[in-house]
Amino acid sequence: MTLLVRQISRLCALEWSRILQYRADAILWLTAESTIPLISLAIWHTVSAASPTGPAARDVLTYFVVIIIIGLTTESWNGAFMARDILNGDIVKDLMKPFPVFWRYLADNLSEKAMKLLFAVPVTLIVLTTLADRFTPAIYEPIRLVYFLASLALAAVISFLTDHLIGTLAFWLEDVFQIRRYKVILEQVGTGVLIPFAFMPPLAVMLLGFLPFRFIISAPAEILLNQPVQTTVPQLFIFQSAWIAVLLVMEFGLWRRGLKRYVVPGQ
Amino acid sequence: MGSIIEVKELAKSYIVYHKEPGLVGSLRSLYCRRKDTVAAVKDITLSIGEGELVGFIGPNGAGKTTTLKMLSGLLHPSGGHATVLGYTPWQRQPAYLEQVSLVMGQKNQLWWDLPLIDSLLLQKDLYNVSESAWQESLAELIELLDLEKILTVQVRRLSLGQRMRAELAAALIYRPKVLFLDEPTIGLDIVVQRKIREFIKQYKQRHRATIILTSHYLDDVRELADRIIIIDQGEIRFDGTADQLIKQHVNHRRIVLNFTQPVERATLEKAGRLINFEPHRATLQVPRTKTSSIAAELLAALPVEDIAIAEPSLEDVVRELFSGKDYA
Repeated sequence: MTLLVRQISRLCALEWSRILQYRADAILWLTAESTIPLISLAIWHTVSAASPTGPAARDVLTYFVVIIIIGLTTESWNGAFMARDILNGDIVKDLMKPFPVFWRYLADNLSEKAMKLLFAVPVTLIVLTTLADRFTPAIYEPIRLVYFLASLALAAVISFLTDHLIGTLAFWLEDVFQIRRYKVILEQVGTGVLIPFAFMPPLAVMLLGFLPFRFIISAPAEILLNQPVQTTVPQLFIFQSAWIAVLLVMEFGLWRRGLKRYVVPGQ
Repeated sequence: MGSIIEVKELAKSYIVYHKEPGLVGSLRSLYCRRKDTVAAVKDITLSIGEGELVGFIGPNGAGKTTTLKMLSGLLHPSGGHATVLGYTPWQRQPAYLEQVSLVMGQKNQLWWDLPLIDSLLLQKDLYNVSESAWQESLAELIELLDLEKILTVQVRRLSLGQRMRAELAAALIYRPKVLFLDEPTIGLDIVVQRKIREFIKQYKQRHRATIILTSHYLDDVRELADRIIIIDQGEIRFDGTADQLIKQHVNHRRIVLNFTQPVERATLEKAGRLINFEPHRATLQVPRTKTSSIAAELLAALPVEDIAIAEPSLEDVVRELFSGKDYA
């Protein structure tokens, strides 16, 4: 265990060194990540202010500020890199090491995420504390915060596993990037970033519940605001845990089968 | 000498899909794809002892790299068995991976954006090398590979030759017992090739590492390998030393003659196959068993200033072997 921690720490340190050489890139990603929630905020805040029913304008504002942080915390992009490495054979360098490839991508994900949050968290905390009267009061309850952090951690794991699973498909498919593009579209709709679940018809909420995306972004926000849509907070935790179990089984099954058929292209 | 690598009837087949050209071909391939099974490696059996350096030679697509990939654990075979250091490579157990290393001339394992020293530090943790062993190994590699000046340079800024030296350092910093080298000198100039060869030689002597080398440069194989394995169309066609290869596959020798006076071409053609001819100098190819008698006859009959008997070069043998010529 100590060795694993040391190995992951070293990988994170190297990743941070790498990111620091490309500071502009990190800031650009940060801006891109926050843009869609901010546009959605502008739209839905106007809608809720003009509508006598549905979520209040204050709740909408809180929801979108919170999902910016959730988005940055749960974001996962390693699947695309892993797919590229599988397709061009560069994954060989990781396969030859006595260190699971899974952990290598996880360390990469954690370190880059930490770097982005280093910028985003202080800004959000300042906004939430100085303008507290403009946000939903529930988010300031300590117990909500504890639930939120637990749900956020589960959401980050679901996001990583979903992305990793899509990357693993490169053992079978030659254009896994096309699938990733579909994932991005589904993410936008199914996570609640474009349209909050509170504004969706019940059938859409039910259907999207069969995909993991709601449990990546919307679920932690629903828990923090104490406004679960067509469900309860404990059920959201159960769904999140169940998705992790399902994704883990699928991921390890696919990885093992993928390695068996891998032909290591490129040389 | 204990056996480190044992291979029995190892085989690997691939499925290759074909697509007809154009849009019609693309549409047809949506519902009906023509596929072929290609046998890249067929029933290879071999044994390699501790400290041996074995060179795999063969034309492109012969199955050398596929064999190497199976032995290093990257590929699952279609049939047969193999053990390396007592492990089945493709099970990829950490205890196995800690003791082997693979260097591919066309792939890099270093962190592109960071200096070499960072990659070496990462290797230290990933392979669980103690600080003292790492320091000792680093000092040795700096000396042998002349790394002092490039340790703190970003890898992307290194020249091809420097990068290959850096790759070797990363591959060997944890002192693997078995080293798989796939085209380690590809694309390098002659001076750097020589340096790399010299390093491999010294490393093997110091650490008794077992090494399998594939290379298109026969100089690599001739200078380094204790033993040569020729693989062609997925099968082993020869397994032995360079001398044995030449003796077994070439039934002729060459007689190189210098004359004090010009001689007639026709006179020489009677003695054997004329490879080169100038009035004062000629090279003849003669049957191996008759070399001595023909040389004696030439000395007696012609104004010979000096005479040399030469074995064909490894290049000649391999070239002829792969072009399917008869050596008799």
